[in-house]
Amino acid sequence: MDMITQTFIELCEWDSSRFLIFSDNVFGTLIYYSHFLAMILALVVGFFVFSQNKKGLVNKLLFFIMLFFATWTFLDLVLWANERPDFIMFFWSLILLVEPLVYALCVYFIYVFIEKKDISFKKKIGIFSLLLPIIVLLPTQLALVSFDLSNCFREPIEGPIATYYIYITETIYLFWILLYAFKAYYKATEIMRKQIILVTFGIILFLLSFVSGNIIGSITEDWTLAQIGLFCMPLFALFLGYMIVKFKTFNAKLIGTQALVAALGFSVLGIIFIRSIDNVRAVAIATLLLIIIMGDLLIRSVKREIKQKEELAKLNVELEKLIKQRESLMHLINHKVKGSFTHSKYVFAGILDGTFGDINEEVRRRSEQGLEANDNGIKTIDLILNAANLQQGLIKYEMKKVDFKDVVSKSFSEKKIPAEKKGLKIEKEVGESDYTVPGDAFWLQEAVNNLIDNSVKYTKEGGIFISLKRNAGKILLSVRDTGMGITPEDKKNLFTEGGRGKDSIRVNVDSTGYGLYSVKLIIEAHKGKVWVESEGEGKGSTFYIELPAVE
Amino acid sequence: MYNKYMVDKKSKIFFLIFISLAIVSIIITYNKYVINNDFEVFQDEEAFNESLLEE
Repeated sequence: MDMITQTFIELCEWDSSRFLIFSDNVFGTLIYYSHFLAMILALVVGFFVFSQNKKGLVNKLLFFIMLFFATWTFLDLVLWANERPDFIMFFWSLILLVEPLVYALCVYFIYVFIEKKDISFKKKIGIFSLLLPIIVLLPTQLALVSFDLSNCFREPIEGPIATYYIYITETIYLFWILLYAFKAYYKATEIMRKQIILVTFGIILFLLSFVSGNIIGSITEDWTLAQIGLFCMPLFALFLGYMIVKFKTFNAKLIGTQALVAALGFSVLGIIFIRSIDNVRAVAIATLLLIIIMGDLLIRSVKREIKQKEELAKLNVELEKLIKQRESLMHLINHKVKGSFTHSKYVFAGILDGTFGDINEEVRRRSEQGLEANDNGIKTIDLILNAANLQQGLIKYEMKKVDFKDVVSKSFSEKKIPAEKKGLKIEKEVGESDYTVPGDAFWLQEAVNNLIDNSVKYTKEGGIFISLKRNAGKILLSVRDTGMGITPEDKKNLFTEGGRGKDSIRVNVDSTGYGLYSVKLIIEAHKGKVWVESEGEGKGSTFYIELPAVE
Repeated sequence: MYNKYMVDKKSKIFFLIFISLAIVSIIITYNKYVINNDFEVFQDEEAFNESLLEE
């Protein structure tokens, strides 16, 4: 350094720095506070996340991001405090390298966080090759041209790499993160979407903590106020904390979360007792209070979640037990009960057709009643078993082109006999059109049978009116009855498993609550809809089935 | 959950080269600025002379 420069430096009356970062050149103790807090938080969060899973790539990446951020904060503090031009030139160069490196790591991090796997080699080259010109040209005048001593500025004059290239690179990285997150958001599941929003927002906020200082400083010319940007770091730590708790990100455990909160608290507590920061003690105390409140909420939330998980696990065990019990009950019904019904059916049928010899009129009448009761029993069992199989997805539909008009006509003919036997009027109206639907004829028949059967069972007097229409690519079957009607309360349970109206047993003693449930399962498997409309109790009901027609 | 997603060998070599380049660049920069003081100092000569006269 020549004599003139040396004299000029002396004229500027700069303070000599101790340990690189302590000197009177740093005006405003808020600068120390903002830097120390950001640095400590970054290190605590980085080490905490890393300690939770040392082999996890996402944990490692976050650790390096935090480590380089802490380095950046330290270097920035050196530049505030130091008076030696050679040191300032060197540390300024280092900042030019570290800052875009943090951006690049953030791009890498968001990929791994969302995709939950390492990115391709090409992508890595793409991300990190943007940094190569900075690395190669760092010692040249393209990065830093000279040291500016005029008006005691104490800062380098930047070259095109520092003035343009770095800002362009950082902008590219920012947009890269935003565009990727935007794309990933639309492909993601509901839970992952929340994580994507949080992590993207957190990272953008964190990255802005670098540039916001320069922006605020340049606009307001108040470089103490510019330190506000660094407080984005504690906010980012809070974001991470929330994600750790809410989504079990980074595999954090309760004890880990407690340790994190304690470490943050003690760090800030330690800062309060540094003598040189008297002026910002109030800010430090406020930060500590914030950490205590947030930490308490965080730990409570983890505890609550653990309790919920334990309860859920208990319920799962009970549910598995119930499912097994149900399966064995179904097995029993299918083999034992249905078998007994079938056996007695053949006995009654044998009596009626004279296999056991001549019978008198009384025995014939009783046998006919027995046979009918048996048939009803078998039908009920079939209904329950079918619903159970449909619900478990054990039914394989053979999808073909089916004429739905034939299905309705067949059901109409079948149900006409019991309806008229009950003294009910039953009518059918089918408009001229093509009623072909894609579906399984057997199961569609089952659905329509159940629907009409339901109306016959719950209608004491009056009639049943069946109508079939085609409209705008949809086929609509309606079954209107003059039966007991449905209250809005009963409507909610009607198409559910075992769901019945509160007075249904009174009208139909054989009510199982599985008929309409089966209809719903079958129709929904055919991409259709089923619903009911009723003006209320005693005012009848209209059941609808809507199916997509073959174009 | 992320354990199985480790960085592959090709990437490790890439990062090794990348880090080595960065370290070499930092060493050259340190050597240039701190050891050799190889940088120009921009100063306002006029203001400097005025301040000398004042003294």
